[in-house]
Amino acid sequence: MQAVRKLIVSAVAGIQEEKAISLVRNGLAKGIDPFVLLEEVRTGVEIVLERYNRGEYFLADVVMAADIYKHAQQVVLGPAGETSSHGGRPQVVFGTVEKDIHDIGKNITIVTMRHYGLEVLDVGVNVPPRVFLEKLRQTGAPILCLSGLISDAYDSMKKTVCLVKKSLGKRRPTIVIGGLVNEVVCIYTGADYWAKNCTDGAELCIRLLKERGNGRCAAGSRTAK
Amino acid sequence: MVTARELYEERLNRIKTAVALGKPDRVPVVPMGDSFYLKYLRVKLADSCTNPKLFNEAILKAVTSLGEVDGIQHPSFSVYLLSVLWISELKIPGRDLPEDDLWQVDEKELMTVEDYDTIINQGYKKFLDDYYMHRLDNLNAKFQQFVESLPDAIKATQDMGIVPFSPGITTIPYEVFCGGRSMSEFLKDLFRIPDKVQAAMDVAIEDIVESARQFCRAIKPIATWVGGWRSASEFLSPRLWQRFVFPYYKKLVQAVVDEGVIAVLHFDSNWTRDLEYLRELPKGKCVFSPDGTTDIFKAKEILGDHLCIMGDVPAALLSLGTPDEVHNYCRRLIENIGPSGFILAQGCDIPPNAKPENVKAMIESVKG
Repeated sequence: MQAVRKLIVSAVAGIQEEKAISLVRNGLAKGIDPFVLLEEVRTGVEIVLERYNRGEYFLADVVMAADIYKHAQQVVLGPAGETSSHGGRPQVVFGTVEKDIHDIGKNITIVTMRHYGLEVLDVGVNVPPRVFLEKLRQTGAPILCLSGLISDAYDSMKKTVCLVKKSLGKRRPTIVIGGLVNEVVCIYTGADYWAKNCTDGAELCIRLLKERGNGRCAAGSRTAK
Repeated sequence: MVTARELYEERLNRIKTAVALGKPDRVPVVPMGDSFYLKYLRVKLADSCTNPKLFNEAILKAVTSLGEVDGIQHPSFSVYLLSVLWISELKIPGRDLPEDDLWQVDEKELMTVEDYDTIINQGYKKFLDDYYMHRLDNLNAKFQQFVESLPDAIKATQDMGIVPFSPGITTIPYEVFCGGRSMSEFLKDLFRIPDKVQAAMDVAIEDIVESARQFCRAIKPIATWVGGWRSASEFLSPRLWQRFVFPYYKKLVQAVVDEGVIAVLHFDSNWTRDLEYLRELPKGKCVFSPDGTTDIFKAKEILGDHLCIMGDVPAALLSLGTPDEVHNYCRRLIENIGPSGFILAQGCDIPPNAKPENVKAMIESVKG
């Protein structure tokens, strides 16, 4: 049993989908707890993310590993199981800002965040500032992530940050931007932090949530990563 | 008084000297700012983005009022060019977006896994003709308008003494398929059905090479873009990059160079890992044009004696920086990447919200 579990981790970490899924099926047939099997897949994905962080793996590997997890989830839980883990109260509201319809960076980062156990509400692309505000009011999420891949996104980010700060005051979330951004853009938009890639963004959010302790981040730090 | 013709020859010579890795009298500046030029002139994006003649007029009007450039990368533009490159639908200002919003590629899964079989079994041209007609609303007809407008746009540019440097764009099957399939799906195809993807790429590259040759013969450009966006090293493992990306660039670049045309490697995102491979491309016949993400100083170190480098004033600096900051960055490039084998330009494209005074500072910086 232990051997099967180890093999699953190593197949996922090696981005070997067929092998990983076949091992999961074997495991189920042998009566191993489905959630234990899924946990091994998740461990494999974590190794992929660690390798990505170290520059040994690349975006394509992360995309594929995320899909292997999704596939395994379907095998173990059936098609309905896939969405069941994201029904809770979101810790992160995440969207691509107004005037920008790019979704790849956002989607990959959300998948990464969910693998790290974060509850994320995906509000889509080309999201106007008032919609972000509405979602923050509805959820009370402590983190707002804004993504943008075109330079027009800078102004949309700035408008969103302004509206959120003005409307929510001290109750506002910590605001993280990502995509085609850097420290200068972070200062320009008034965001609290910027993230350089999907794992950086996910780890930053986890750190912010831990710092907050009771679930709300300490807002107001202008330190960009 | 210097005539436009003499000015054109002087500037062309400056650019060609840089491409051949020589030291021109000064570093040439060859910018591109398709959407920026329209915003700068306060011309509605909706009016020009599907009308290449209007676009050419706007580019020339804008660029001549911003300073003295040696050349421009695109003498004309049409948003349908983007649709052809990534076989994708577009969000077009005035049609799908407010009149002054920037056009964008609307990436979705328009190409299916079965399409790889169609390409393998029935040929790339048949697949593409059908795809353009039925999935992209007769794209070919719209794109032809752009192709037909090019000779006049090129002549109008030359008549002003400006070099219409790289009027065309071509790219490898990876980019086309990636756009059609959507990036996530395509990346998964590389793992799940690699042999099928490669077989389709091998069919497609032959037609792409032939189209590039025909374009070079018909238009006789000085250079053409061989673009790279989603095939950047940062997205793929070396194993996948060496299989699905580089061999196809090598083939396409060689075909362009064989036609006597300079290949501009307009490479967005980060290619630093694989710069060494670019030394396999023809020496002194190509331009490596990174967007500000690849380490341009590393590129100089690795490629400096092999390929001319063009770039790479970053979009954020042009939008958010000051003229002094732009000037200082440009001088750093001119002095460290140049003065031999270097062309000054923005990274990728001047963003629509760049400050005109920053663009002017970039153009002016080549004078010292």
